[in-house]
Amino acid sequence: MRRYLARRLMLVIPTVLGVTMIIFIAMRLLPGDPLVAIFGLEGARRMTPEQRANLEQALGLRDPYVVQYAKWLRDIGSGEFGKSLLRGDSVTQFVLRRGPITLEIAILATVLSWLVGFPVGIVSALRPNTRMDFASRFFSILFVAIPGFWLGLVVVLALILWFDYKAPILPVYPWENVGQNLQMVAGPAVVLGLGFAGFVARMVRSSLLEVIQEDYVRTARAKGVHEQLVIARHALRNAILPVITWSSLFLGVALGGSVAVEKAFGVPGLGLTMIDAILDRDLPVVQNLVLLYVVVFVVVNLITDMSYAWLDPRIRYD
Amino acid sequence: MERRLCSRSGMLGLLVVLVLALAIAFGPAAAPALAGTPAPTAQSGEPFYMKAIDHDKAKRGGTLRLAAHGPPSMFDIYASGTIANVGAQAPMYDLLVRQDPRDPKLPIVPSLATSWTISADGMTYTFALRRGVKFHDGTDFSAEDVKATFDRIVFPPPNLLSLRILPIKETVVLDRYTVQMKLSEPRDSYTFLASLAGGWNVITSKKALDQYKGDLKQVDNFPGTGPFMYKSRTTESWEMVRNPNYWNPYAPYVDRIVHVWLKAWTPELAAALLGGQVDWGMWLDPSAYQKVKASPTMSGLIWLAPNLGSWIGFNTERAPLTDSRVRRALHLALDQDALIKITQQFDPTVQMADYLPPPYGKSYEELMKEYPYAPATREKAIADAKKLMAEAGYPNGIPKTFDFVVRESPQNRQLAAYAQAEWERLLGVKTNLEVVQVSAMVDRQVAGTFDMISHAQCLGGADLSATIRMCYSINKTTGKKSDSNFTNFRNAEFDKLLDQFSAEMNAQRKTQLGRQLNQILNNEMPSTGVLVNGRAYGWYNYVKGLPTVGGNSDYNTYQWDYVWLDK
Repeated sequence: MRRYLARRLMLVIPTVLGVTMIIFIAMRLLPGDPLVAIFGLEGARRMTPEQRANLEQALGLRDPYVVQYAKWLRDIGSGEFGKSLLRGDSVTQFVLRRGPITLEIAILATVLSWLVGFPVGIVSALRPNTRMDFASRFFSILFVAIPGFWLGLVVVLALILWFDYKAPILPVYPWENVGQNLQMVAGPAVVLGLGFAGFVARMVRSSLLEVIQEDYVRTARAKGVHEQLVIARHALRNAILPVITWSSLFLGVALGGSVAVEKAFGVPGLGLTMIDAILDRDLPVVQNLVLLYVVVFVVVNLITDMSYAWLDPRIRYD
Repeated sequence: MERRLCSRSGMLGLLVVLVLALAIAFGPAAAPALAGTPAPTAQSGEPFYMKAIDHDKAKRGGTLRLAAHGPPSMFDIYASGTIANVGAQAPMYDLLVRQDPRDPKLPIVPSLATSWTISADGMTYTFALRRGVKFHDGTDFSAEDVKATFDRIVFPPPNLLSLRILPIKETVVLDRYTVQMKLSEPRDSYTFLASLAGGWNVITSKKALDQYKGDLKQVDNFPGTGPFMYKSRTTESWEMVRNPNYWNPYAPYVDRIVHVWLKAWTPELAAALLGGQVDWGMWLDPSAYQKVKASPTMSGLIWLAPNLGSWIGFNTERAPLTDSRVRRALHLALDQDALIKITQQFDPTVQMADYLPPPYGKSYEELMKEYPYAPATREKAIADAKKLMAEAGYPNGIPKTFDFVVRESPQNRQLAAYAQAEWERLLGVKTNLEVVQVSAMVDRQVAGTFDMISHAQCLGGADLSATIRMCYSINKTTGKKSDSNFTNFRNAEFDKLLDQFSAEMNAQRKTQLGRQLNQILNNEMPSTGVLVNGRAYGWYNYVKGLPTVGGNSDYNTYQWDYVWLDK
């Protein structure tokens, strides 16, 4: 297990480094003048060449790309993720302030996807080719197919028309006011969660259909174990593994998917920050947030892999 | 009606009347001012304190929630050209003198200077400063702070920027509470004092400027003496609380102000204001503004932008745009009424303007009745455009595709597309539209790598001559074209007249000079589509004290010490 973990961690390093290189190059290919972002059109225009040179030097923009890249890695290593060009805030401030909202949405969406997807998938698997199965498959595919941002817009419109919904303008955390916090995160979590629930339901259905044909399930039934226990203890436990794999991906997808859904709901999370930063060409914010998303994705995948051994005793990493 | 109230002619007319009124009202100083009358000086006797318009009825306390365009990218207000700084930071600071925000005519009133005198030649201003004022960090305010502030603004250290143009040669401390400013070139007194009163010229402490070596980019709480004090700043908002030691015993009225960052002209801003999540919003989109005006519980007004410039500038250094006949032909080929309609889709307050505002240029109403702006004169304008092209040697069009750089925005794209179609259809002039992000515009503007460029506007201020110089002339220090002279316009006669215009104290002669400048620009036509746009504001009626008629410099109105909440 330790050797496997060490091997996986060794793989994480080149993965993250590769990503940093891609992000760095991509950001440098985008057109735009950082000094315009900082000082505005008028300010950038009124600079003398000397002032421009001094400011670019101070920002490190005159360094060769290799040096800029090395400095970025050094900053990441020291926990300093740079500062927004357009806002007087550091990326760390953004992450600390808005990260919890996005994380909350991602976790709630994943939990919701399980709460909805599991029962629907189980019922569908246990009653194949019945009306209930057809209905559950129809809705599963429907929610998988509908883009989150579109569903978000429809939900927002409905909320506005029927409930006088107002998009939040300031983040409210659960430890400050649970009710207001839920008003803020529930919409995006439901929209993302329903999409994931469709995946979960389909995954549970196909996995369970396969598992309940296995010998050990037949044996359990032959021993006279109650059907509910057969499903819960024997079949579902084995069918759950691919769902866990997908759910770990959901968490990553929820972070990425929240970009559009947060925009639709106007929720001040990291997704909205990312959209604003992209539109404003706020390179340090885009660069570091993308990196953060990648790291979260990689770490969640690693934890998921580790959890297999715990969930399925047959799996050994040594 | 709105347009009539807010037209340049109206405001400039009011400005002239105001200057005359101030000159008459404020005593027998010998200093030159517009109209050859005494310059404005502060009243002696009862000290001036800013109060709410209806001070006797005013309630105290509460939180004023402001939708502010922002957040600022840095905090050095002297180096900033955006409303994101002055809009949010102004409440923490005071100015030396101030334009009264309660009155759209923006008369000059005391602030940290309680009174001032002007020398007979108008070149020296001596300010008596308010005593007993403290910065938020507890430091005493004195003349040294005024000098340090204006030295930072006028003579920034080599590696720092200042976007303010003030004709100050030297600031001298005469004693702890008296400071003197010597002008580098003459200005009429209203222009100079209004320039000092620009919302960007906030007074900070010498101690802070020394500590940070004048570089305030990363300092969001450099000390001020203003009515509100820094409390907290997050990625979404900036909160300030009432200064309990404020020198004005009457102000501020509200206990707390919160600036919530909501970008100008966005649906998010409109939703937050109309949904009651903020009490006041700035720079609303046209649709939101109409809703504000239609609401019985809300009020709104338009302030005109003090900027100069055009929607399409010609690079006068690139042939054949070096020929003014070609530029005039391109101008005449565009249906100015159509230009207005295109731009008003995005902002109903946009109106046609002359190169210079009245009384130097013509007003919107005058222009739209005349050739080539009046729709009835369209045919003649097209015929004249073709004739001019023929005279310039291009009767059948120009065998070149012009590089037309367009700022990325729906408004600019539509304007450019219209111009492109009309120039090709009527004159055989082909253009290649290159849409670029705002952050890439500067490189193109500075390098001059374009034939035509959209959004050729430059930031305006109280000193019109400085704005004209920025837009259409040369930088007197460097002798090179000014930073915002995108069109590379050079005209020796214009430059000479501009020097006379900026130094002229007599209103009548100044008007004549201004009209000559405007005429040269109309003859030379360095740009076309000269439009002026407004900025729409909205607030709930329980926010009391705000003027109901807008002026032409909203940059100076954001201190919030004259506003109270009736709830």
